[in-house]
Amino acid sequence: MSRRSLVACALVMAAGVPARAEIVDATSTTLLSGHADARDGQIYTVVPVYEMVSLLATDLSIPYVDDVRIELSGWGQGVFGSPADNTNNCKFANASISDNACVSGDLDLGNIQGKLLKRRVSFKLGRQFVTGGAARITQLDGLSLEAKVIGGLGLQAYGGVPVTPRFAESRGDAVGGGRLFYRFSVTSEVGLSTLYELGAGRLARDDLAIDGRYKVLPQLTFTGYALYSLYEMRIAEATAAATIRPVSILDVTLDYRRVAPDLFLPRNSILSVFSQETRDEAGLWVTFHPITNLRIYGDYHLVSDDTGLGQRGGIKASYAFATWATLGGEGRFVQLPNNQGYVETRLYGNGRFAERWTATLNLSGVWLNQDLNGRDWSYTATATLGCELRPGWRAVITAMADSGPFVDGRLEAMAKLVYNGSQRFHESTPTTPPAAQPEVKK
Amino acid sequence: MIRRAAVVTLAFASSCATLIIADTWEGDFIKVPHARHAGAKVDCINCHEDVYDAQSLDANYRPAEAKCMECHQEEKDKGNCIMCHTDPKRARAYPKRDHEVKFAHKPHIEKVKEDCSVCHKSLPDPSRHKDYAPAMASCLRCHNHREDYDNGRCNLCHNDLSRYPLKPVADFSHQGNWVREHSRDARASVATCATCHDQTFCADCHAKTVATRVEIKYSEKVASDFIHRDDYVPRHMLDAKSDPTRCARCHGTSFCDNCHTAQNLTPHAANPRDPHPAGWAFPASPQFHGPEARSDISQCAPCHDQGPRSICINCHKVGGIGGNPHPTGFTDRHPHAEIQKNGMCLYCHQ
Repeated sequence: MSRRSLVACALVMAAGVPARAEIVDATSTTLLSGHADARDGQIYTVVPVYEMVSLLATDLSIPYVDDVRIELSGWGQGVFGSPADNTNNCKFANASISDNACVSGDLDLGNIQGKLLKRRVSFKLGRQFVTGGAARITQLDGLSLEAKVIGGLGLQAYGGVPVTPRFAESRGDAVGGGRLFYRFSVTSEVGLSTLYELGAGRLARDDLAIDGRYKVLPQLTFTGYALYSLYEMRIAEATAAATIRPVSILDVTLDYRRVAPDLFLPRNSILSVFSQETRDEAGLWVTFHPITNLRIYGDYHLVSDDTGLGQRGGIKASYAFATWATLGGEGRFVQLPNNQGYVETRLYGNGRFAERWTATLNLSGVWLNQDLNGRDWSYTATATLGCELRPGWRAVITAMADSGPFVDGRLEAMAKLVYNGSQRFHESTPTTPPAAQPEVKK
Repeated sequence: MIRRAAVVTLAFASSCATLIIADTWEGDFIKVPHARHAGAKVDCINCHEDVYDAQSLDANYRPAEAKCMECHQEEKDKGNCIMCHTDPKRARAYPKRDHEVKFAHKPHIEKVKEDCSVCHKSLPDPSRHKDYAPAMASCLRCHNHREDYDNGRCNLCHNDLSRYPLKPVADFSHQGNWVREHSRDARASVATCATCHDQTFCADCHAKTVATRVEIKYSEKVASDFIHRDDYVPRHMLDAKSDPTRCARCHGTSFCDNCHTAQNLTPHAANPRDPHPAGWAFPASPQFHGPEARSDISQCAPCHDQGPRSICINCHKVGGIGGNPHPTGFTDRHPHAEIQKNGMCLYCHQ
């Protein structure tokens, strides 16, 4: 775990000391796997063990602060059987414990949040995601604030240090930004936002964005988004979509999108000065459920860039047999301008039996347009067996077999134990006055 | 190695067994036949007196045993514990309850003139097991929540919607390939998403340092539209070409570089081999890298974005054989004077 992660965790813990969590939701997933790992023609048998934990403590009582919550999410990993000198697993690790074993771990989330001034201002301190507008979804260690100014008008502001993937180069030294928004209703909102990021002492991002979602009618919703690079004075991404629901069993979304791939690189990347091309795509998404148990979904998009036209699409259907079983199938394709591409088909099913047991089966095949490593296909078969051991406790065993361009045949086995529970620690007299009752109909 | 794997397997299995054994107590359940009490003309207030002045649901308003004993002491004296307890040997008090709404009984009881059945349409009974809390429809018979709903003020009544099983599917259809499509709605509906989803939910996919892919973590979710399902390695480069910015949203360039290095596909690998097609470095070749790089430079970044150590600089620096790599109009936006102010420019313009 990095020093920053530890500091973030400690900050959250320190902030939470005077508080008392009434309800704690906890999820723990322990996963043990054993599989063959192909690396440049060599096969290694690796045995990773993962532990993923998330905690959500709510209903805490701190004076003058409402809706206090603490979010924590982290993981640990041990990998056995990986030669340390040539593996992607151990290279990412925080520590090697032997020549062919290593351990690693990190904190994904660690923040305390609450609301002040009669819930008009909310804050979040620690490791968190900032979402929406120019931030898209940015993980940072820092502080974010949101204030409801008047009516539906609000302002969000944030600042901190961008989280760098454990196995990557720095994503920046500092990031800050804000979003001014107006919420017409729960389904309609517009926003104007900006984001500024420094990396290695130089500008990495300087973006301005507008976003909006407007439900004009119950059957018609428009969404739009535009991200503009103030440094390059070009549009990095622009999307527009209309979702139409002529009848309750049919959803159709028409969309158009333009992106400049180079503007998705930080401005302090040397490669950011090499290109300024754009890509356009347009298409539709359709969801149709003619009867309750049958769902059909399809999409098709035409893609255009300076090398030509490409396309991608797919269709998926699933049928539910009452509440105990589902069967489904899907097919997808990607066709690039240079005749590269693939077709993927998949059949799957899941069923519940004897009340506590579930089983699933997944069969998939991929056909590549061009040979890769002398082969143009791959297949995968996966079966799982799950059992509800106790309320909140679940165990799953998975077996997987595959064959493809990089391995002739491979088997993988996996065991998983999951705890997902909610604990209310004590019942007591109220610590905060009850909320005002909403207006009563006359 | 096998011995280590066996030890780990054993430890895993034993920890599972310990956890299962440690949590096997079901506990007792107290049977209260409300229908029979109502039939005997026992008013609600007789047993639930405290709730009449309750301003919240935080306290326990179910009657203590002493209240039951006012009428049923004789049964207890006879040892007829099974009359009320499903498991008398492990008898316990009422379990703690997790209230999902903020609710004050006192003003409501006054409003309905102490007729509890206005909201409580059904009551717990040993013969029926279901959720007896009044449905939201009971609230909506009197309260107009349209404005609160439109303004996202669910917290006026709901403590925490992240645990709530119902989603506003009529307004935010989570249908179709929602995994791929959700960002379109999420960008402009941040607060609405946060009403039901904690960030621990987002972290499964969006955290920068996830332990393992969601496809592996949730291998039993066969119906989900996970992006990297099954044997994704042979087709990942095709998806990246088809829609490169989608990869860049989650994966930093070094993410790709580490795996490519392990596969000996990058110049700094232990035994590097060239993954590019023949003619990649020759301008006359149809496979020349120039057009590919211009159409999507983000594809080059996973292997060649090492700042001043980037291999691109060798040929494209000022005076190099690769010539000026800047696209048309670049110098209009970035005049020569900028070079001395930007250390990155000096990698090539020395």
